[in-house]
Amino acid sequence: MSFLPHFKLSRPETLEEAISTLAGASGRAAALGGGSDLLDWMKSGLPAPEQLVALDRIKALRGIREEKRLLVIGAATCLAEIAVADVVIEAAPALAQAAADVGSPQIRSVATLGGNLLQRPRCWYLRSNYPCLKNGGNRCYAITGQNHYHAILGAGPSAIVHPSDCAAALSALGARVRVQGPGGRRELAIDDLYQLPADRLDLEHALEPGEILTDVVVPRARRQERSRFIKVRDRALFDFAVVSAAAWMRLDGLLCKEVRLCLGAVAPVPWRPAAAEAYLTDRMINEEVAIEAARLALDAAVPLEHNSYKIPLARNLVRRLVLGLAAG
Amino acid sequence: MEDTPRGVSRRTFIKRVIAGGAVAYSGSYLFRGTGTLLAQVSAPDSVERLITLRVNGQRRPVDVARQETLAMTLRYKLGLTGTKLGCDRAECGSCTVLIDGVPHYSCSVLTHTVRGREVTSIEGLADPSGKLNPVQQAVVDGAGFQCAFCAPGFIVTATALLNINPNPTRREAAEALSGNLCRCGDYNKILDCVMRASEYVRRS
Repeated sequence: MSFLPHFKLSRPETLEEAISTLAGASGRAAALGGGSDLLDWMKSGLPAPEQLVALDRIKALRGIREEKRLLVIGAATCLAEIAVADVVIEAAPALAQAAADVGSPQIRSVATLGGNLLQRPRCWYLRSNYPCLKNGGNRCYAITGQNHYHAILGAGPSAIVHPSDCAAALSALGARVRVQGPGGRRELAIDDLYQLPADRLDLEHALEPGEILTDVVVPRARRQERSRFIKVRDRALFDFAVVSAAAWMRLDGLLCKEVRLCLGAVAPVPWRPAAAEAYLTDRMINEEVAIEAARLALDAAVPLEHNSYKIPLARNLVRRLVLGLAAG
Repeated sequence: MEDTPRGVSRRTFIKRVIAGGAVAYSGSYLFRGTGTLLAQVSAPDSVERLITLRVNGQRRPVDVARQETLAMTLRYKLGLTGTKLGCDRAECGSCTVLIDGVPHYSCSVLTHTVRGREVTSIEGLADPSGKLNPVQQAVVDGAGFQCAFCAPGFIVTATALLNINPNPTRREAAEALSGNLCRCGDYNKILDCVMRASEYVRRS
């Protein structure tokens, strides 16, 4: 049995109140969504916030609405709701698929979209409280240790991977996130929400203290625009991704007019393989083209001792996605 | 027979010893948990607040610390030890309870956040007369579990499934139960029981 450390708990009813509480705690407070990651983290004895600001009473953070060409999803909307919402299944199928593939039914009924995007890495050294780079220490134990599930792209100095399925789907969908903090509101592309360990070690995201992710904004699919998400895990269900992949494509028949690909669980951030995207653009999709795109997508990969299997796995996912989207 | 007290058969004596041991054991289990919990909440910066929860159709006033999870409150404050703590990390499903009818991992829900909501644990599934619910009856009839530590979680989750989908396919049942793990690996028999329960629901 593991106990949670002591913390102050507040459950504000407005976003403004939540922001001022978070900002007033000068970095020692954290927002609590569904808690499936944060409470687990805190039970592990990892550096814990002294105050939790539960977002469960703030109605403005929940729900899915349409704004012209956009789908706006409140950050505290739970994944179970997103996975089955008709409007998401129609307008952003990759996101519905990713949400449905997260965790288990019990996880999805509490886990929020914002929490999924901002969850911490699953690295077993970090979670076991090793004094590693991300935990204030001076080395990444995964690089020379047990690294089956670690990064093959973008690693250095830390080899964590970002575990979020929804982040990969949203990156392929060209989503943006809205953020509100003591300094006001801002909006950023989902790709700019994440930072490589080379740029920042202690956190994976770019939110300032006191800022809350309020909404995720996804362009609704038009005719000829398709998206899809595939996740591979060790078990059939209820596990983190070994590799995931998402793709969004605007097609004219078999001609790819525009494409976004994103690989999950291969890099410390949702990984956009730019060379493969550039190659596919304005090209007729066929088996050969899909194989070349898959090759290019992993061209820069540098596997660690135990994770080279991720390269063919990720290539096959890219190939399947490209062919699958072209086939409809 | 000489060693046993007079007037008591050897068999009865052994039964009583076993029963006594079981009571003593469960008592110490409950006490140990309570002790640890009390030690935790009696730390200087820990504050308990009296709140009223709705559990199994009853209003239950209870003193709850901020860092207390629902599983802790149910087991060690309310004595509802049917809810099991396996991993305590939202990974195994043994602690599954219904909150407003939806399965949740009670080990990963802060008790303060369920005020005003209806909590149903394994103890609240049978009707007040003691009649088991269809899943419980199917588990009894089908001898669904080996060690059964995970049984309360599975039964609660399966009950929620049949409430929204009384006629699931075996695959749908397996997906609905994917958040519950059985270390005996008894999944086939558990699924047999869920399918049997769905038959009971249809017939009633």
